[in-house]
Amino acid sequence: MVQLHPLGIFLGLSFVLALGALFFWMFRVPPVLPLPVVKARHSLKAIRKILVPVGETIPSQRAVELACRLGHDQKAELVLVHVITVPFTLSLDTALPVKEKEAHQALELANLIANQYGLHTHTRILRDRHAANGVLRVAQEEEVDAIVLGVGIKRRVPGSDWGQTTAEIVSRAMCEVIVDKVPIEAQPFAA
Amino acid sequence: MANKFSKILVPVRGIAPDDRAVGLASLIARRNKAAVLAICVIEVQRALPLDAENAAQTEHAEQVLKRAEQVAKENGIKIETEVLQARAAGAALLNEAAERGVDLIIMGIPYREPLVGVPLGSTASYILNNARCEVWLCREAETAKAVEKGG
Repeated sequence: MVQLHPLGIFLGLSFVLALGALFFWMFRVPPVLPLPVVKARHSLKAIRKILVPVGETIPSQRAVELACRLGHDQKAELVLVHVITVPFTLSLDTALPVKEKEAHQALELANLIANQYGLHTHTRILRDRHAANGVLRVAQEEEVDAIVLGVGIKRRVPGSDWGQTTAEIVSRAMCEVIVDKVPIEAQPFAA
Repeated sequence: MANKFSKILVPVRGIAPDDRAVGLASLIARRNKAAVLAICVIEVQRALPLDAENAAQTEHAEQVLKRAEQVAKENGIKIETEVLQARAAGAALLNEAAERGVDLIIMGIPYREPLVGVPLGSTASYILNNARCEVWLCREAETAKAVEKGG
């Protein structure tokens, strides 16, 4: 004679239900999605190294912020670069203490922003005749997955949508480029 | 410094970088609990009335928005979609952005070979130069374009 206890029935049913739920979860057919849709999701996670050209401007600080948001989930590495542009009339290794001080200050501030997100940063100061060349060279050397640029409204090249440096980076970079155009209200010193 | 976005607009038109823009919008929306609105604009020639119906274009727009919805769903959010008919996409998008209180526009742009011309199309250029809110332009990587060309 089999005796059934309510607790035993409850445990048995719970076990069967749990097993059923497990099998359902294991063997359910996921919804069919187009390949590009799946790729779009995974490509965001694939951004592991982000380059941000840094200056002492509000747009560039916002670009650091944006890069941090992009890289936060996958703990991406930020490469913060400041390019000291040296005029052709001077040799590339000429001492430029004021510009060097500005570069260090800009990178320090960018580092502080990145630290709030707990991201690993790597800073570089380099010299070049053109800022865009310097940024693109670092992008290639460091094999970054994306460049994040902050642009303001000033110094737009006539006939172009933005400044010379941004235009060149957007045109010539092989990796993904994300441009953050800051609204006028966010630039207190905008003309 | 950290901005809280509450409404994000993503203009879509059926090109590969749209997926990236929607993906990025979803990422930001999830963290900010923001609403995402994807809009596909059908540009109507001046020779036709603004409400002239073009079944093929409407169907294409609906497919583009369906895909945007799928990308957003895959990224864990639901988005609102809309088809607009206008003379110029840029102006229509900015009007909609102003009416709905959008605080961020995210737009995908394709990679173009250097020296082929300006990197921006007319809509992206108009939005970049006239938007009163923050604008993010995501230019796809060169490799993404190469893969697309290859098959």
